[in-house]
Amino acid sequence: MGEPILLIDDEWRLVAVLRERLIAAGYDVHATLSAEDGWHMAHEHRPKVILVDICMPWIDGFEFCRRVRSAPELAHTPIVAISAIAYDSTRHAIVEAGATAFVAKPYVAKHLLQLIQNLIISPVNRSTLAAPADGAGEAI
Amino acid sequence: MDDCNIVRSIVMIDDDAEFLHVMQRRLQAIKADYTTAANVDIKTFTDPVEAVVSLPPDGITVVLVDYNMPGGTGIDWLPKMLKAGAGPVILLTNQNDAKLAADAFRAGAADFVTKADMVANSSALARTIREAVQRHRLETRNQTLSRELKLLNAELEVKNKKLAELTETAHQFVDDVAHDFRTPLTVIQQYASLACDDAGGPPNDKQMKYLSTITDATRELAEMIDDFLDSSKLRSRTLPVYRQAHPVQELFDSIRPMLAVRAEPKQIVIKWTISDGIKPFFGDLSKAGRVLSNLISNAIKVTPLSQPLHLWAEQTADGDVKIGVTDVGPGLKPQQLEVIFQRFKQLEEPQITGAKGFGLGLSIVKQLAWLNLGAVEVQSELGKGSTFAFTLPGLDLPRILTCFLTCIRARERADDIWMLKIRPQGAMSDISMFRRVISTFSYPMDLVLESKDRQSINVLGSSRDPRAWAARIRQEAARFHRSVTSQDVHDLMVETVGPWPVGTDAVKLISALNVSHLVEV
Repeated sequence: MGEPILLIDDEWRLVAVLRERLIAAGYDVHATLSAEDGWHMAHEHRPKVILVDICMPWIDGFEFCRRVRSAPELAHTPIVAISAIAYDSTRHAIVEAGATAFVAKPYVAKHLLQLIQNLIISPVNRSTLAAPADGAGEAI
Repeated sequence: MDDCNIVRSIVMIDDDAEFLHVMQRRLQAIKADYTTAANVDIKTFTDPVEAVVSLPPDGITVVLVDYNMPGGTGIDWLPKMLKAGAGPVILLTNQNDAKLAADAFRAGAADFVTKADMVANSSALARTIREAVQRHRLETRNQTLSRELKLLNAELEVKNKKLAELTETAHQFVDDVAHDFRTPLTVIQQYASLACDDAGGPPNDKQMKYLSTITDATRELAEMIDDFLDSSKLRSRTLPVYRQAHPVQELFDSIRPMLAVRAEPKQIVIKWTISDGIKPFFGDLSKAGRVLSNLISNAIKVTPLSQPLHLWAEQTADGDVKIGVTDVGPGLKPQQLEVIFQRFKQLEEPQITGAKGFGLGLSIVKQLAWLNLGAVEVQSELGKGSTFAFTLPGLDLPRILTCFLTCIRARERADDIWMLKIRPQGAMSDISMFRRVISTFSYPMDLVLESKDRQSINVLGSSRDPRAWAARIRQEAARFHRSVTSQDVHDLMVETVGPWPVGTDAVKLISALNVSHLVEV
């Protein structure tokens, strides 16, 4: 079984397609449509990387990032925020809330996989992140 | 005498009852000389308090008041009388005194005359009353007009605000729609790419071709959404700019992944050339990247399969960096060259532009290049390909300032006032250099201000008539600076030694002067 990855997005079609990609890449994927579920799954599976959508009902990506960062057992888990809202202000705000990297939708799957791989190898040092600056994905 | 000057009542106030009596008879006797009314009601008072209470608020009663009065001078009483709402107030004194006269006029007196003149010369008395009434009418009319103007201005402001809100709503709508497009677009793109990559069994050649067409089209749509968002932000002037020094290589590296994805399906070979010893440029990297990727996207569209595309960078004679994309596509007709940079032009005249996806993209390219203090140029010949290039200023303060001023000069409107804030990264430059540069542009009004901490220099300019606001800006500058002197190269250049308020105060000062361009470099 590969490294555990947690995937949270309220758009089920994106969860499904990305889940398939991640499984194909050899990861142990845990996916859900709500951040509430995601919060419990994070404790249960201790993922190496969490992928989270920003705009979701009930608990959004900002709140989720803050919760993860304030929980000692999860605080060091890298979080990749994925969103269709790609303003500079959104990027800065989500990093402020605790995200490790930001990826704009639509993204190039290859770049996202590379980013996840880099975060697993070196979860702390942000300078090692792949930074495809094609607007399809960007590490901060 | 016209009806406008009709006087029906006069009030006289003096502690000298004898004088009042003489004047009352005199005014009755000569009334035909100052009014068309058959009767004039003339009241006299020795007590100013009593007089003020009984003044009719009709706006036409003429008041004659003595300067020497019990309980304060006539000038002290003036405001109370004016407030009572009678007509013009004429001040009477025993002797002519220039300073007293000035004080009287400042306090709102309609005229200032000596008692001796009024007693000795009846026609002078009549003329004084006539003229005071006339002046008073003009002033009242003036005040009414000012009030109306203020009211109109207030209404206009409300309308402007409403308009600004509508514009804001429209931009918000474009932003929201563009963002909402992205999620389903991602779904399409991800499933197509998954199918391409063999998931669920390998596609046959035909299916593979269909899938890459879907992928290509979604990428194109995604780029168009980016263009919409940029365009909307450019229109509302809300696109932030972060300019700093960058090597050309950094710009090329930033677009390399995107370029590979776009060029691969058409098997286009990209040749990269950076001329030797090229110096870094000064600009916003992501904006320069958008300009370049837009130009490359267009070039890839027109380049035939398996043909080369040349991406190059060179130093100009001015020390700027010029970056270009040369294709071997079909080239453009002269009439196409005239319209390709205009917003939505291709929608209006598709027969001229021909190719798809040109209008908005190039209009954005032009505006983004401008935000980077540069310009876009195109060279093309039908059948021989095209070269699109844009410039970025070199890392040299006088050059950056010149580029900024050139950009402003090309776009400013008659009423614009703008400010440029320059924070050199190395040692602080000589302030006279800034003056030299700005003087070559010969603005009617300009300012070069150095901050107290010597960390930044602010350059302010306007093509407005300087006389209208030179005094105002000196006054404002004086409020924020320790000392202000106003003699320099230009008549109206203000040299400051004090602290230039960094941040909000500066913005406040500038916005008080209705600045349209506040650009931070």
